Amino acid sequence: MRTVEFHEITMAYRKGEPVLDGVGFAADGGDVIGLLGRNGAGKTTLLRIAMGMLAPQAGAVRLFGLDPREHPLAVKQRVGYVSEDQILPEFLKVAEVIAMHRQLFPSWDETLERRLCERFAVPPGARIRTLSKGQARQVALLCAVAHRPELLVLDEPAGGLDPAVRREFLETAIQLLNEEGTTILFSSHHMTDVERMAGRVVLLHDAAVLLDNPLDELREGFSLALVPVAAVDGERLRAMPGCLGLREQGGAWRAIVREGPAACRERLAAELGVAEARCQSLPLEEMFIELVGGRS
Amino acid sequence: MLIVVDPHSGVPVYRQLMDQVKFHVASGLLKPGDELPSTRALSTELGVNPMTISKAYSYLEREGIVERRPGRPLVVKALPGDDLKDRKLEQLGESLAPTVTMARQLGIGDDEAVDLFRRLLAESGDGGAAGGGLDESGDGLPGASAGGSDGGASSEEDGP
Amino acid sequence: MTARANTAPVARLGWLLLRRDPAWRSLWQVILISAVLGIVIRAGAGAEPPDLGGGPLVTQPGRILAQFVMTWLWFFWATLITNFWTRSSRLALALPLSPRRVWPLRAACQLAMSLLPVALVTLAVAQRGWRGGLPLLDAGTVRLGVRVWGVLALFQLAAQLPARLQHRIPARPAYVAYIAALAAGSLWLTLVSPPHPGFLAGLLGAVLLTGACNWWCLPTTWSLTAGAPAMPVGDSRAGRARDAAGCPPARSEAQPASVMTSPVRRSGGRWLRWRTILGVLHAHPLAVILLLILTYYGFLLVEDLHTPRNMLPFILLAAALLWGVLGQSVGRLHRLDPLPISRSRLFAAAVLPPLACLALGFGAGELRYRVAPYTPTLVGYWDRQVQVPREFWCVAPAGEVPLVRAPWGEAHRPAARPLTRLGGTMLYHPYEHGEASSPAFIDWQIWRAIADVHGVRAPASISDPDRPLSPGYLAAIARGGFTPDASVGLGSAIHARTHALGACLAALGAGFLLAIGLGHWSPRNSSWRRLSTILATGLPVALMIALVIGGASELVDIGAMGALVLILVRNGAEALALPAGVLWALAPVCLVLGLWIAQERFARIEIPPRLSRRRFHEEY
Repeated sequence: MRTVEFHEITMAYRKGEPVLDGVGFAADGGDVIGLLGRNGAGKTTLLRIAMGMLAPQAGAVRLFGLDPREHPLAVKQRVGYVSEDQILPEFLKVAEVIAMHRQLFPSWDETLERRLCERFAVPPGARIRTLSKGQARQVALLCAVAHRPELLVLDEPAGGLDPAVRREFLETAIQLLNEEGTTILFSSHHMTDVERMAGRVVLLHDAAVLLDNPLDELREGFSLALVPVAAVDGERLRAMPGCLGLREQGGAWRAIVREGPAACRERLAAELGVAEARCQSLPLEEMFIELVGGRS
Repeated sequence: MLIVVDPHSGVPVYRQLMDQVKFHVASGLLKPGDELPSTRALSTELGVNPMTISKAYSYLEREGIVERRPGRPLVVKALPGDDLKDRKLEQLGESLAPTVTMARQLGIGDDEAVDLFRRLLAESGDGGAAGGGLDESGDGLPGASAGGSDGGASSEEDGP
Repeated sequence: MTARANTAPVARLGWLLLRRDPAWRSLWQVILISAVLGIVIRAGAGAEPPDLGGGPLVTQPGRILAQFVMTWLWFFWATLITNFWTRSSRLALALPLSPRRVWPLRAACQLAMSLLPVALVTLAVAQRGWRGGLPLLDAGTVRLGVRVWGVLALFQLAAQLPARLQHRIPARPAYVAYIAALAAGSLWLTLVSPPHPGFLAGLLGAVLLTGACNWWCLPTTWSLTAGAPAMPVGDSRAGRARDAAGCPPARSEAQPASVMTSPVRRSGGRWLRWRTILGVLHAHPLAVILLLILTYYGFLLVEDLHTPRNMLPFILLAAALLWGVLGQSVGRLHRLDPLPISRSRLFAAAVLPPLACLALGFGAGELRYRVAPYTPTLVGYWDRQVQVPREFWCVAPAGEVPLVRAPWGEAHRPAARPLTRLGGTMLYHPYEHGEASSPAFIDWQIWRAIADVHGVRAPASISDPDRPLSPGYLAAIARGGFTPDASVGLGSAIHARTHALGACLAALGAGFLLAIGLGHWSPRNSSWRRLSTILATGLPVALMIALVIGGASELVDIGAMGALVLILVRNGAEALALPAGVLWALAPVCLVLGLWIAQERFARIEIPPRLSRRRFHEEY
């Protein structure tokens, strides 16, 4: 039984404009999946479908083998969720929010709760509305992890947070991973966080999964080839199998090729007769920009 | 243990880890029988996914650099002297490989390149020439940009 | 030349700022509610609307005063949602515009927005007929409207006086108290103000003066804070102490966390969970106001049971409000849905408070009739007409209103009340009398009504046209209003059964309506969604528009429509032949059934997707 399973999810808020179209992937215990995509690519929608807040128009989602819309309580008790927005009730005090969550989740771990309270040092008597953004998010994270969920769904957890709070967030999640083998499904625009945390990256683009690869594979199995424009016809480069994206910049073609740098250079030399190509592996952020930045 | 990870470089984190452990073993900072930190400890310390650490460890194990014993931390495997030397050469070779490519692309002749290498070795000064010049690591840790200076300094003591 | 070149962009910018103004965002909502409110008041007032221009409002009879206060509350709400405490939007704050340019536009928006509901309601209430396609207006009511608006405008402008540098006045307790005092003062001023032109002129002068004061006090540039340190002193000191001592204080400071949580657990329990759910769903100004109005409607609805007054329009409004409360709750569900709380609990939390408010108001109304030395009767005589509950009206057979003939030969043909001006079912009031009817005929009609409504036998003497009538009785008939003693304290089986069945049907209908409306949030792939959207939102809106237009132009007779509904329910109750007690006992069963139907749908709804919609105060 897999922890999360998306199967051919299709979802459109407006007819003819699908946000997700046949999106599918799955994760097992201990997997950390970083969900990437441009703004409006459907990351939040997908995570809300996983939470059962939205029903896909086609396809199925299974958490622990259960449909989250058919068995909402059973699923939600095993999931921790931190939303992009501040959704904790502002009129409650921090201690009350925690107490409420403690009641709602049977598997609540008070030791972990106490540890995180000390770590985050959020004043327990403060009302949620008086907290800073970072503090409120920390309380949300505490409430999401203190019941030791089997799946942690984080929707843009680091959005708008300072680097120190972000790192704190990351370390808390990693600790949970270490102790429980929790599956983490998170969306983020902070590539550094994705690179630290994620074991696998799913890139959503044009309502579909553009990439679904282990992070290490992205680094070793993909490269950026810089070829002088004069050396080769762009169309031939684009038509080369394994070429994922191509754009021109500063008199050079920048092509993303599904090959390691060395293999890529050999391929370019063998297939297109280009000797002066420079091939290099590239960080996730660059890859993101090269793959989805130029497209619309 | 001196391990620094730059998740933002193009090199996978697990490979950065492997390279650094190998370098530390080659340079002698990690001696046979030394224990490596647990996956858990290291992942919390570095703030990276524990799966990445265990992946690096299992590759290291497969390459015969470390040894896993049930219920105990990983330890560095003992190596015969020749193997250690081979490993050092291998390390240097890995960082020289891009230089070779660059020399080819720049059209620098083999003799010129070797001369340049010799000259640089001579300029860097102290010691090592008698040992064949190959155990001098040059600059930097492989994989990560930081932390190399310590590795370079400590390699002095255990030179053959 | 530069001036001309500048005009167009400035005009465009002005338009942009205008459109972004919070006052304009709720334009349609305000227009619709105001129009409906005006029509309802006008329809409730009957054929002869009260003279509102006669004197200060406090001298008006209680019912009109109550209606007025309710209307004033709505005006006040419409004023509140203009966010008068913000003098400039955040957008304009960042633009190179002087406050003296931005503020007048904003102030004009606010004043226009508070004028709009007043104008609409005044128009509906003051309308007395038509001449050449234009409505004939009652001058006194119009003057009252101007007075009300003047007071509201004064309130709005005076509410901005404490502002100094800020573009937005922070809601400190002192300011809230100031606003509350101003609001109470302005309500009082509206109630006691004399309909004197001098007073009106003085009021408008005060408005202008306050506006000018605001204008002179405008800063050269806005500021986000009042200039004083925004951070409470205690906080910064604590922060510094933490910094100075390094890490360990953070630990000791966090220590209370574990200490603090235990009392909460002991006192919290189940209550904390419900407090959270109810707080998230209902603890915001709009919901509170809707709930208060619902309570008041519950109170008003009791009149339907004990008097001949017809409160059907209020049932419609109550349904609309119930709907509004539920819609508000659904809009807030995303804050609770990720938690393992079952949907049936959330549904209960969303639906039960408004129902409880309605029941509370209803209970209070019942209590009033039980306790107070106030004798309501089902048959009354006021507005120079016999009044009976509307279910005792009749449908004219074959479109012809029959002649009502007294035993001694005096006859009167009641006025035909077709549902619409163009035709349709014809209703009439069978106990009506004409202008020229004799007191004996009126007495005969009243006795007939009492006999029919209460199921008693009328004295045989009423068939004698020359029977002696006491001078007091004759005077009361001539005055146009009294309570027929013979009706006091008598029940009416038909009336009770009609209303008991009505309550059952309303409870079931509410459930169905909720279920249909909730279909709007059902999963997107169901075709039910579109149909239910049309049914639940389109139909009521169409009905409301039809009523507003129809009522205003007298194309539709709202009174006759209400009567027809009641007659149908009465026929149903008679066909069922169940005693009223049994029907009243069935009503809660119907309510539970109706809610169960709605709950089934609620369990399947999608949480509205536009979760990150920004709130007004963030933008403003």
